[in-house]
Amino acid sequence: MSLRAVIAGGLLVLLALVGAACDTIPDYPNKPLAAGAANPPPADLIGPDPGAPLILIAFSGGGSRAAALGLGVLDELAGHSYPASGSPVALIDRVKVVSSVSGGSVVAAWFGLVGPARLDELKTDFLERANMKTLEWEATDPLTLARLSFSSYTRIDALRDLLDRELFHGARFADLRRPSAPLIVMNATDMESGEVFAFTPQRFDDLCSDLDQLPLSVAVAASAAFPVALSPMSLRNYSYEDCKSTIPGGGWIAAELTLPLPRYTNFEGYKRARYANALRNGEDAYRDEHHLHLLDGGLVDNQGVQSLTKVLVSPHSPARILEAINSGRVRRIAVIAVNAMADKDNGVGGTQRFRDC
Amino acid sequence: MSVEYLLVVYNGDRDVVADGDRVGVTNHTILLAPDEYIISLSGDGYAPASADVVLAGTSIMRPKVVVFT
Repeated sequence: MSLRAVIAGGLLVLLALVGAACDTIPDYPNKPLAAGAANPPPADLIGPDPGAPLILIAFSGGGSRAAALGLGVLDELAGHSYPASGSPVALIDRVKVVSSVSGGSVVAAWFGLVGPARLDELKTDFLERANMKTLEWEATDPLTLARLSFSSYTRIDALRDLLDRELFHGARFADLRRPSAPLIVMNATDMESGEVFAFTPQRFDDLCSDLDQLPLSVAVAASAAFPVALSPMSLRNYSYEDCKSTIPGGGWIAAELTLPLPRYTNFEGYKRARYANALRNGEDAYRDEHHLHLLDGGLVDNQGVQSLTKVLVSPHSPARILEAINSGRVRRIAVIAVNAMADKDNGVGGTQRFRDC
Repeated sequence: MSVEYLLVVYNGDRDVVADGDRVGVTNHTILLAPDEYIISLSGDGYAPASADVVLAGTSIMRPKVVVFT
């Protein structure tokens, strides 16, 4: 057999493998809500003392550098306190909302899951290990290649499995419901609409899907699904199936879309309502979203501040922070944006001129 | 994002509701994002039943004032 025939045969096998992988239907990680049920809102984040500071943090993307920087910031907050009646309270205990993107979502989910006491385990169990090497080894493993080729298993599933195996051990969003736990908002990008997709109870109401049952590793992996290197994380939108009529809430969506002026006075709010209406399969939806394909949150907002701003100023956020401000239940708020962007010198400014050669 | 100011006047303490969600209390200045809102109160026995309010160009010294009786 000639070399040309061997190469041609090899290419045919490769095409067949790729074709087989593309034809498979994904196993969706999200489950539907029970009929008539809604995702429970977050617990009260404010507390009884109006003078106690309320701290909101946004962790940016930036891979393991972002996770390490976020961990460092939380360590610092654990080492400082404010004078409360009685004894001083560590600032980390007043972190009540964390919004995150990509690498920042690793530390956000871990903080939400274990709280301040076991934060350092993130360093030893995950950050100090060569996780990318592990992924690279798995990518060249013949068994993994066969699984990627002949089943619905994708590259993003490999990352999700790694996160579960090394760090989250099957923990789900329901496990974030510890007493005094912060609200964790992990952000991805909806490939179709280009909107920020936040893993919140309100957003999962839109999908008629049960957030509590979703593994944390799914949200972290979706938030970090860097395009091309990783495949998108796919979710199923049950609002396009049989539970549309039982989706709770949504009064604000109707108000934003039917009143004449919101699209001029608050275009961002109008866009959010339009997107939620589409996810809910509502009247005159501007696009169909039967399935969602999520990529790295950094494609839209690598700082994670869009969702943080929404939690803080939207009257419709289930966190109820704006209401607490307006009714005097909270008087001190600190917003910390943790930006892990590497702003390296690329040498362009030091070049005298560019030549066409 | 700018902030707008709304003062809902009513002879009593009620929750102020914007587009179906509580946002503050009567007779105290409320912070909201610029937008058009349907404002109502908690409970019943007040008039009008709701007010269509556009919040833009207000200040802490000149909030948009809505009166319920």
